[in-house]
Amino acid sequence: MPQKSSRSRLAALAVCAGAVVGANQVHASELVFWSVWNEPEPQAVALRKIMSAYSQKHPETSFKVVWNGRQNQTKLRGALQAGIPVDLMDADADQLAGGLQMDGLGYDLTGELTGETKSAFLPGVLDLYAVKGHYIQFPYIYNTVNFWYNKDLLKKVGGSVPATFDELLSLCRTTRKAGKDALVIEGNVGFYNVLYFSNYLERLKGSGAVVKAFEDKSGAGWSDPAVLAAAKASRAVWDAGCIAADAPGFQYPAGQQTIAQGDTLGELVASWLPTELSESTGKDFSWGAFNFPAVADGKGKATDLEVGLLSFMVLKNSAHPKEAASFLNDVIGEDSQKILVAEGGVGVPRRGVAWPAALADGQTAAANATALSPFGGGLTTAYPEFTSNVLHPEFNKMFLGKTTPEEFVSTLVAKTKEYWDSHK
Amino acid sequence: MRRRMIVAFLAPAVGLYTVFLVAPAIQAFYLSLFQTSGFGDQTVWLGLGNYVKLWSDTVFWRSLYNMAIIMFVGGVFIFGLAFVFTMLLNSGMWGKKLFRALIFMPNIIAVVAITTFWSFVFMPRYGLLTSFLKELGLASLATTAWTAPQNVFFSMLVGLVWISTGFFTILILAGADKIPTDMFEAARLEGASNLQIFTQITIPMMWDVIIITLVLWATQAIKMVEFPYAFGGPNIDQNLYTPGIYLYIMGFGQREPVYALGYATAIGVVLFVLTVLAIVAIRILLRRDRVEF
Repeated sequence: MPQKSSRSRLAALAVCAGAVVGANQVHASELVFWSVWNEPEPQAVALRKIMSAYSQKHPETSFKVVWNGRQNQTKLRGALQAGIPVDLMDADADQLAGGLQMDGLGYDLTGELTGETKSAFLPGVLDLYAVKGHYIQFPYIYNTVNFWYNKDLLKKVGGSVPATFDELLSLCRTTRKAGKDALVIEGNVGFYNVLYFSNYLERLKGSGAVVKAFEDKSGAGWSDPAVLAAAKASRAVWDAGCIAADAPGFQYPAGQQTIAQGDTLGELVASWLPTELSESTGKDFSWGAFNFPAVADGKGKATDLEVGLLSFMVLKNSAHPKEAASFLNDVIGEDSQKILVAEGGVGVPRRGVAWPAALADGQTAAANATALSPFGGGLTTAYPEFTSNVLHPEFNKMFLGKTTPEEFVSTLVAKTKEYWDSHK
Repeated sequence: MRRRMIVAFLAPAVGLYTVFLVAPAIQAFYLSLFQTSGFGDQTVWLGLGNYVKLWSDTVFWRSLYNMAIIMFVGGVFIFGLAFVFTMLLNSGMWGKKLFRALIFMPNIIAVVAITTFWSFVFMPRYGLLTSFLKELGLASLATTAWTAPQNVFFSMLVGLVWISTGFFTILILAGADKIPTDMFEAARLEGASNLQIFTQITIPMMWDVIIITLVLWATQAIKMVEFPYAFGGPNIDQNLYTPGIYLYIMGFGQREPVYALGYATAIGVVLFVLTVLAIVAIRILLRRDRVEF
């Protein structure tokens, strides 16, 4: 009898232990994360630390990371086709918006984000890629589009930060007199060069003007005089001697290297420039940034900003969407954002977290932003094919002097009509 | 029995070829009839819609034009130089092996490294060519932006000719080396010049090798991606597009998130057809009676 009792107790204990183990199995989750970074990159190091800290706070959650690099989303396409489970991924926000998000493959995070999370973001960031109020992307790295320049060289040439477009052209002349070039471009990077056009058009017509012009299916949206004015203003930077005559031959990153060499004052580009040039410039390089200046009679404000974000996305078919969303709530936390700044050397979207010193002017621009639009005015995100095949190459031709602003505008009108006729 | 043996020996190869080449090719053609990004299961049947769109796609025609320039203009220079090198190396010159190794050397270096070298050569302001032209006092040529959009294609072509010439020289040389030496000796005794020996003996006796090298070059030119893409960088200018690069841009979401997988596959199918046509054309146009030796 005692034996029988002992056996019963053992059986009960075993059942209880099994239940406990079972419960652990149910709650423990391994988040499979495919990343846009390569493992040795500082941003990847920062993410590793953030994940590690999260796993310490939440022992039931672990991470399995695949460091894919820049082709992450394309590689993920193959994985999805093959049925490989992935919970979480990150990529350039524009890429995500035109890829997984456009195909409806992102998990709707709206109900998973806490009030604290939503209010932590700098103005407009979380909403920029929201679809009808639903959050599909979760931005965690913030790049601002500004003129990034060498503060010391600006002093040396006797210039000052321009508040208007005319002052910018005047600064070019001052810089030229001092034997330097005010601006540089990369001849083969259409999506950098088009920033002159998109920013000027948005200063004239307000944020979102580029997409709005394209969405007139007759093509007439581009016939607005503001479009021609923006095209002519883009050419004006050449006419005013802002950019060296040999610059069309610079193939990325040859152009930006001239800033590090002290030949050029700055470049219209995003806040990743100081990081990209850090090896050439050294730590003591005095970086500054100013917004695309105001234009006469413009509806847009000089504080409106184009941005390049990096976002996380939880996949719709994730086995652990709530756990992944919980992690994202942690990513925007102060500790995680500070790790991204310190280890990754990047700007972050959380209010009140200081960006790296070289990016301080970018942070000021982000904090004061009155309206945000994606890189290049948002056409890349909304209509990538048109942007890739028409806007960027046609603009580059005009910008580099192979066609006139009038020809550029008439091409946009014709190609836009053609596009919409074939997308009825 | 013999037939069974043949079937048995051929079956594994045919099976693998069918599974890994024929079936995916058929599947690719099927995919090209749809509009799909490849991310999800959403596909839209277009029939030949992608091909109709290709027909009126100016960017695609531009890429085909570039491909044709690479194939014909590049080909003329590559084979012209390869024949000159073959002639020189077979003329009994000193250091044949050394020169042969030097000519082939670019082929053992990674394409990215080679293109980086060429981009330094052509770089404005600080580039090798610019500095060289300045030293020669050719200031107007020195200020030419060799990698500006209007010049970048031909700058790339120079590099491509340089890297490809060595490869085809080696193939042609291998063919020339097979020709019995007594023929050259007999020709020399008869007083034939190097050029006469080359055109009257070397070329006719290695005609099969020449056809194979032409087929190889044609297929390389049609499929060309790596060199122009590495030369133009990830933000490649449309002036450098080949059909293969355009396929990549349209199907694999580069800086702009274009994921038109069905359309990209249609480009791939067109490339396949072009390759087959090119091979057939070369075979038919250059058909000659075989020379025995």
